Amino acid sequence: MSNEARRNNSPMEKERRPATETRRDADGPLEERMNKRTILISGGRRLIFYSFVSEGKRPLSRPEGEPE
Amino acid sequence: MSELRWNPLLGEWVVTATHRQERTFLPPADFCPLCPTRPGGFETEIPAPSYEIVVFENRFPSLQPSPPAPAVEGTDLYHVAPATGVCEVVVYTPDHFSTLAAQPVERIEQLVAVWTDRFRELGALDFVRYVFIFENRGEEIGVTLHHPHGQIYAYPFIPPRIARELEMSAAHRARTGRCLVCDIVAEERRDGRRIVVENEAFVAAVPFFARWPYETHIYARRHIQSLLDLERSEGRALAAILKQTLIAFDRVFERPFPYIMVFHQRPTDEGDHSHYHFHIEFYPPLRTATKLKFLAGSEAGAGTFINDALAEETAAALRACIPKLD
Repeated sequence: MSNEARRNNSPMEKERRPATETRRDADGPLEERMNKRTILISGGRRLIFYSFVSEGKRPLSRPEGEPE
Repeated sequence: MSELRWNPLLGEWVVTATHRQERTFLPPADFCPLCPTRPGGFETEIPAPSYEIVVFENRFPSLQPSPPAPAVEGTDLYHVAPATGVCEVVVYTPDHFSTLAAQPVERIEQLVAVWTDRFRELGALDFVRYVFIFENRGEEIGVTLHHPHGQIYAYPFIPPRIARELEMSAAHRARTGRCLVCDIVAEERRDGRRIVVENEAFVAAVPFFARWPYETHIYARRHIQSLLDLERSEGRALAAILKQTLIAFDRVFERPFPYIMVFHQRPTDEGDHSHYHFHIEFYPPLRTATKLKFLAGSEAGAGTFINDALAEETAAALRACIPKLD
């Protein structure tokens, strides 16, 4: 890669690559059992709680211990 | 203050982030910012009395979605750009005294799903060209928080080591018609002496060209470019081989084993990176139970590593420490 090309490898708009999802097995992707909830914390930063439903259990409405 | 400064000698960006001098440094366990916030207790970064896996934007980021303007003006020689990007912290468990190795395979599989989700979400941002997942473990590496966690940097450019791997992979594909890492995996499996452990979807080996005595790579056996390409069974296999490798690290010198763990995946720009091959690399700094390998003159100044050990011997030592999983 030339120096010019390396420098041009810099912050700029890019074309959006279509999302691909290939995690497909007989028992389904783990993401389907993944709960995700986002809140804002100090400084307006994003915080995401990830929780998972165990095999054979019903989904929880809210991960254990999370604030209302 | 943070900005990107161009190094014309190496053709690389350097991130300047002076505010990181203020970051929390080895706090006592009672004041760990990654622990849950207990009722009436110290208010941590995570406002909940418990959690499973948490991801949040770093309080002291090197890269930010809306960074401040650079503190200096660039020139024709010295280019300057805003430090645009995202820096996230991934907290593996609420247990302050645990480790990634101590997590059940099921929890590590969940972590693989979280890493995959972050790769997808951050990679879709229009200012992100490379999503870099990593973990620094141990004070020897410079860790400032002991709570089990990793980090993700979403860069606005393709970092130089990845760019070099992409170049070499593309050249190998052009010359042979084959994937470079697929060929490395085949060579390591044919030889066998440097294999640490393998399962149906992944191979862990101290590579022929290891720079660190216990450097270990985990290669996907199938030609895939990122976590997004994993089948469910491969996610489980990755979790299992990660746990086995990490336990072997801690057993080899019968002490907590410091390491840098990095995920090498395809860039998230518009390019065709079908020649690239997903793998994970570990750089442990120990060369004996009590001695560290430092990046000194040859490594830091010339970029040429001197490895004090034979990959065939360190792989055998790690292989002897691999646990069987239930």
